[in-house]
Amino acid sequence: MMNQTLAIFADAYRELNHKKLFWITLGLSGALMAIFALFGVSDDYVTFLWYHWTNVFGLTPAGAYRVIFSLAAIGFWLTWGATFLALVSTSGIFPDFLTAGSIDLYLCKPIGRLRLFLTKYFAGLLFVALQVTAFSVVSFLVMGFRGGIWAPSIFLAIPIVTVYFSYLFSIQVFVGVWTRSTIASFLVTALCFLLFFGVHWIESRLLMLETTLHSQTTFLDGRLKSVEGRIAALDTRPAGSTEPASTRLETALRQREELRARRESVDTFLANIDFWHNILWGVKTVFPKTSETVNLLDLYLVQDDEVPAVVPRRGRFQTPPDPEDPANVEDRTAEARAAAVAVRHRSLGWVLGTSLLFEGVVVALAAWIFCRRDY
Amino acid sequence: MNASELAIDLAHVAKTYGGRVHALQGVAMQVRRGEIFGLLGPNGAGKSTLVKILMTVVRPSRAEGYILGAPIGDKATLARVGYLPENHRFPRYLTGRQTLTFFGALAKLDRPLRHRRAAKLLDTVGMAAWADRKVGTYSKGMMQRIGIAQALMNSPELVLLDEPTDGVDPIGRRDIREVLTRMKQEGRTVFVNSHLLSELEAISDRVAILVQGRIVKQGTLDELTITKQRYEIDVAPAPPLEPIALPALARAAFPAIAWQTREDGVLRGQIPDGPWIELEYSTFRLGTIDPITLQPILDALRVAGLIIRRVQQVRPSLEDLFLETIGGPNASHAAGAALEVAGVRG
Repeated sequence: MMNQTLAIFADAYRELNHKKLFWITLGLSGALMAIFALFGVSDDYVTFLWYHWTNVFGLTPAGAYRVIFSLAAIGFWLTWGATFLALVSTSGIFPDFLTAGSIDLYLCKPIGRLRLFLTKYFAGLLFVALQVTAFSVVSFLVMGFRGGIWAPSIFLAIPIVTVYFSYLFSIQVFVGVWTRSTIASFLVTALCFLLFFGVHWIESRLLMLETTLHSQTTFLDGRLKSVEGRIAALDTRPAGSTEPASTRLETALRQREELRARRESVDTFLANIDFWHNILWGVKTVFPKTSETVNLLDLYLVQDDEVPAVVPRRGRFQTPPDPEDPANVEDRTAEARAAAVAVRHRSLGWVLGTSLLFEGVVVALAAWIFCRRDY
Repeated sequence: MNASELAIDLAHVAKTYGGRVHALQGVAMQVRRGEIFGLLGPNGAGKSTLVKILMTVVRPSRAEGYILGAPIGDKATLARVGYLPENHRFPRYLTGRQTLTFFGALAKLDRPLRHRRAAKLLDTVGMAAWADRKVGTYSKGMMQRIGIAQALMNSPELVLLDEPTDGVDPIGRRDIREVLTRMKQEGRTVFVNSHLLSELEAISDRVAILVQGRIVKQGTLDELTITKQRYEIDVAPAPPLEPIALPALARAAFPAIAWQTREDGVLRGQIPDGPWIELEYSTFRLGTIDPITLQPILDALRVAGLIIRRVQQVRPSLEDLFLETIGGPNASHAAGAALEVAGVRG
């Protein structure tokens, strides 16, 4: 039994070895890491080759390397670049395998169809596993020598990225087995990839907006309390008195009305955002969580306070500048970071469990078609 | 025949595609151990479907029968069976040697054994010199040789070859014939599915003819052609008579026969207590291969003034048998076309 499994894995490796794209991807990974290694960070300067800039962010060398690695290596290369190349490279694995004259040679051997399918499936993930292994080794060395961070946790990239890619590969295999077409397999998977990313992007933006709006309600409640306190202090008239209010009291009363109106408006908008966020949350629960899965690696490398926050533009529901509470209004970064941190700390069970369940269902369907079909 | 003497024993194998195209309609067939068995049939007859069912590549609608004593579909039995599919496609990135060791591993051979076998078989099929070149660089004939070697990697008791000489040049075909003969000498059962009737005729112990999903004939060539075996006697009238006088001379030689002229101009009759006899142009055909029966007939022809130019015992070729079975030279195309329209090829 092991003979057969090892033979299929060895064959998968030979197939990869034969593909130019495998080596191109590996070369690009190497180039990216070389660029990464050329960055130098000190307490005062950030350098690249013979150029240097003032370290305006006050990043420590270790923190800077971690953030650059998080943004470029994880956020861009592993999530987009390498994934796209891997999808191109692996889209033909099952359609080629199922070609008449090829599949016969496998099915006529003393190996069950389900086992053959599953072995071939896992062997197909070898592309990504090998690429990420090479990438992790180089990253580990670059971050160690250049940033002084010897982080073995970087090797978590191997299982994490392989699992992340396996979500997409399951779709690729399903379409490949169903249609036996390399192009269909690639296109459908690429579309699903964009769809998952789109859902994640919108959902995380809605979450950020929700966080902002919650912060607004807290702020407005505080302001209301403060204004009501001021009104209580200024309004010294006896109950039922028809005496006109003082100018300062009138101003405070008007402020209270404005704050109440804004609070109501924020509540209404928050309810709408909550509604759509809940729908997208439901959709996301069914879909594989590609972004969150890759971000698991980020979680082990980058501290929460190093998380780069994407600050949303000021919208009509965000609090306008208020001279009495400038920090609470201006510092949108804290809200954005809070939302990003909330995304980072989503339950592992939800991120991996539901994604693997999705993958399991798709693979089961593909296996069912594979096992039932005549070739 | 005892079941243990049969390598393949099919009682009823049927396959229907999409509920309407009946590719196989209850095939019953027996292949004896140690023989070379040929399966013939026009395009679309269901030959490849039958072989694929035996190899579990196609799932049958119904399958009653055994391969090497195990029910059809038993995966473990396939470790004792070798198979060369039609139009096989080996991974182009493997060398010939890697191809053999890879498929040897899938056949559950351990590493040292598969390397030993690969080396031996590469030599057997004449591919030792090209063993370490990529399969993608091979010609069609070389691919067939590697394919046959691949089918033999597990030293199988039964080998099924689907069009093994397809695309192979005459020298290659001769080499493959020799390999098949050697397989038989080694005690293996060889099941060949081929269009090349002359080759099957040369090597097969028994054949079966599959037409539109049914086995219509099976047996040794002698058994299948016994009723068609005959003597042919070429004659000429003694001068000064012209060949046009031959029918009259035939009537004179056999006055007791009630001769009839067929539409094609052939004169045909039945000798009392003897074989049938035909005259076409200057050739008499006689429905017997018994030389004793022949003698008085030759005497009668001579007495009637005919000169005997040639006497030959004739057995129909496999091609004759095949064409006759499927209904004439044009039937092959017609039978195949019917299933090709339905999208099914045999």
